[in-house]
Amino acid sequence: MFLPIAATTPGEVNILLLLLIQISIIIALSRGMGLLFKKINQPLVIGEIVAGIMLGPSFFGLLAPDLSAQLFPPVTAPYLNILAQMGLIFFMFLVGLEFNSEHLRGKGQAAMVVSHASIVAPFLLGALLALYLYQSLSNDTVPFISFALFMGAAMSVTAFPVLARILTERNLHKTYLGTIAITCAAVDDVTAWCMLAFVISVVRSGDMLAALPTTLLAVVYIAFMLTVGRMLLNRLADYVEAQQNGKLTQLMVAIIFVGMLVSAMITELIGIHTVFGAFLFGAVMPQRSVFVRDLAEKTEDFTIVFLLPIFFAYTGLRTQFGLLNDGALWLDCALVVFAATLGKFGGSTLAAKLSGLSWREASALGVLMNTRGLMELIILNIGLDLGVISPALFAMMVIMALVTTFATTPVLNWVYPQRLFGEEDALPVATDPTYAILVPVANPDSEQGLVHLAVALARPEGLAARVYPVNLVRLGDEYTYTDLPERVTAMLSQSQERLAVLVAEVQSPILQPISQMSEDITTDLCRLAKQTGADLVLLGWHRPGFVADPLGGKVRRVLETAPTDVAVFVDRGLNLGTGSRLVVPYGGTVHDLLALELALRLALGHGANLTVLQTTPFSRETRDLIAVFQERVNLECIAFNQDPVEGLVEASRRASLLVMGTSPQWGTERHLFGPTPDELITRCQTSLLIVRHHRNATPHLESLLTSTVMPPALVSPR
Amino acid sequence: MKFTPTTTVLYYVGMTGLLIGSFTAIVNYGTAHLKAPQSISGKYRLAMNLSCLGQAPPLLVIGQSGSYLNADLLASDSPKDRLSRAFKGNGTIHGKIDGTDSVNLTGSMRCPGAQPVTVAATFQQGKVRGTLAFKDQVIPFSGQIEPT
Repeated sequence: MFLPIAATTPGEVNILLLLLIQISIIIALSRGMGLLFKKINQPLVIGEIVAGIMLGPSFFGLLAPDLSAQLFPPVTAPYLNILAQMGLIFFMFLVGLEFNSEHLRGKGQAAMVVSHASIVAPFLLGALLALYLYQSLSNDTVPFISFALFMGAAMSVTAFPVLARILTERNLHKTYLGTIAITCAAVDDVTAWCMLAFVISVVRSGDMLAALPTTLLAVVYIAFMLTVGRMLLNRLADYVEAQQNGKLTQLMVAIIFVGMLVSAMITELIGIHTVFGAFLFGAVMPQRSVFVRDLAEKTEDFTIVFLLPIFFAYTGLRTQFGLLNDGALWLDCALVVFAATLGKFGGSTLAAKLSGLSWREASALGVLMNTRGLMELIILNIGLDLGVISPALFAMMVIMALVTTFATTPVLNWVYPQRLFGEEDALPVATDPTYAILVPVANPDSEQGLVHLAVALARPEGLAARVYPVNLVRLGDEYTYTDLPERVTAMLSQSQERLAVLVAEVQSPILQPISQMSEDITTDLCRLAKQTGADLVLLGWHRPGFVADPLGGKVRRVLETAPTDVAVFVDRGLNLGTGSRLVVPYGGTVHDLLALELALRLALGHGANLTVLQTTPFSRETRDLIAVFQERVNLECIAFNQDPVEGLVEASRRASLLVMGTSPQWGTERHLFGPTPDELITRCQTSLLIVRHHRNATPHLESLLTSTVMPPALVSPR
Repeated sequence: MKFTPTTTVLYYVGMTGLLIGSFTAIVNYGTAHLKAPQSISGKYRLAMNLSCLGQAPPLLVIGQSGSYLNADLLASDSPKDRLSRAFKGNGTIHGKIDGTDSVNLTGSMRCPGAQPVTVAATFQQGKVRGTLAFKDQVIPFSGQIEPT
């Protein structure tokens, strides 16, 4: 099949059309692969890099050479290159903007020592490796000093954005280990770009002495930006804050972008690279929260969604794994990966151990520092453009960047599993509560009613019970400014303040709020349920947006995966008290028995009346339970032979709360035939509590029966 | 180990000394003892007649990654993507260049179907001279690099 765009003479229109097609494919594939890699717990950026490689000669060009030649002809390469370079300039500006010099202050000498060791060790190993690779993978146009310097610099880089994201996803950013890792990555960031600027000047000049004027000019420019540049930008920020409360107008954004482009031009003219000028301009921007956040938000979407994938694709188009067509080349590639890992991981780990971290923490730090991500690709592309590395070495180093970044998450999980991150210590879990309820709160409209119900359920235990209102702050799927540790800390503070207000409103001493970052809400809720030893997870209900099942979406996933019993509360203004009427339909399932237990707790705590609508005879266990509480609760059992949904809707008219197990019989469970959950939830006029029993959960009345003679069936898991 | 101001200074002095000393030693050794192969990457127009490659002088396209070579022997009017194929590592003739200027390449070329071919050549200052072993013939050739 031949595309019409390639059939005519290449003219401006055709090139534009081709570029539009190329960019559409690039963005779609990049996002798709990114999300796919997120599913396997990998950073989004790995998927985007892989997408770029897939479009290049190593995959698409190999599978469909003719189509690949039509879609990505050499004639469009310069245009893609320009867009990729613009992407890099804007991305490096963002990296600089997000660089906070506070990371370097007051973090102790240990952090600084580890940072520098994590640069020196891989740099020296890179230079040593250059001795081995120079004769086989370089040529006589590249002086050895340039090759060795470049290999050292390329080995020393750490991807600050990926590292920051991994730390925040795991709530590690505030721990000692996280703080050291962030400091090290920040130091590495600055050092790597300064080192690269120096390497570029040496490569372009040919030797160290000839690079001296360029280096001096670069130092003068850095000093100028750190003093005059910073002062001017501070004045601009003062003006913006005075005029617009820190919000940037389009005119201000234009002024800043022009400044950034001029800075990139100056560093290019000096003989270091455009990326350094953009980074420097971002790094000297005043770190004022509204101003910087506004600027980052205005810049990052277009840069990260549109321009950066073009850079990845351009890199992919230049990555030729086909060049590694010899066993010896693959051995060299393995050596590159080994040396990079040994230098970065080994250097960081040893230095961290020497500075007082345990072996486990030191190894975790080493693993984190070994993340290279797209920062490595930026350096490699510059090296290939300058001709200092050959295409085969470029391919090897791309593999090294992919392997080290890809390995970070699984190796970190292995070296330092999440359970050891000290979260248990950080959680305000009571020593041994007799009864505990975990209450995820996310919706301000329903959270108060939810927490009130949790406190009501825990009431029979008095002060020995605990209710944990938990607010999980979710990170986005992609790399954004808000992923930065300081932004995450601010988001967590907001969450804590919100929970503090909620606790003050509910006024119960058994409340212990928890705020955490979360990558996956369902998984983290299940983990918290386990950590807190929760007897029940109490969820609020709201109609899911895109699924027909009213108990679908996240609620369904929690119902099915929580390690304990789960209840979903549909609040229609519940106000429990003496005389309130609770109704429990009973059909003989374990979920129905759980509904009965919870209703008994509420009745015991509030003196409410309890009506059991019975469709089947009670099991022995249920009979025993009712017998134990018969005298303490106003309880009546009524035979129930009506149509389930109609009968329940009718019964709900006279009830304060309907407590029911998930079951196809009541329409609270998905089923091919019979009533639907939607029907019951929509038609019931009162509040509903829909419960699902977990097979290993402890019966909910156990703690209340210690002073009573207990039938054995009531004190062991069903 | 606790870092006091004294130990920190000692650490940095040691590390800087190690860095400068080691790097200087590496660079001195590399510059004095290591010789990278000459750069021969490019398109060479060959002065020889091979009817299956058209009337015009054919092109020897060489992509180079250090000592590893990736090449194609093609008609000069071949499509652009085929002419740049060797630079992307997808050429059909492969070989190595060592410290000397001589090169041995083996692989196949279309003439008209895929035919085994061996090239032995010497490269010097943008000029190539050598022989092509092909279909039981040994054809001498010479050529010059085309400006990019």
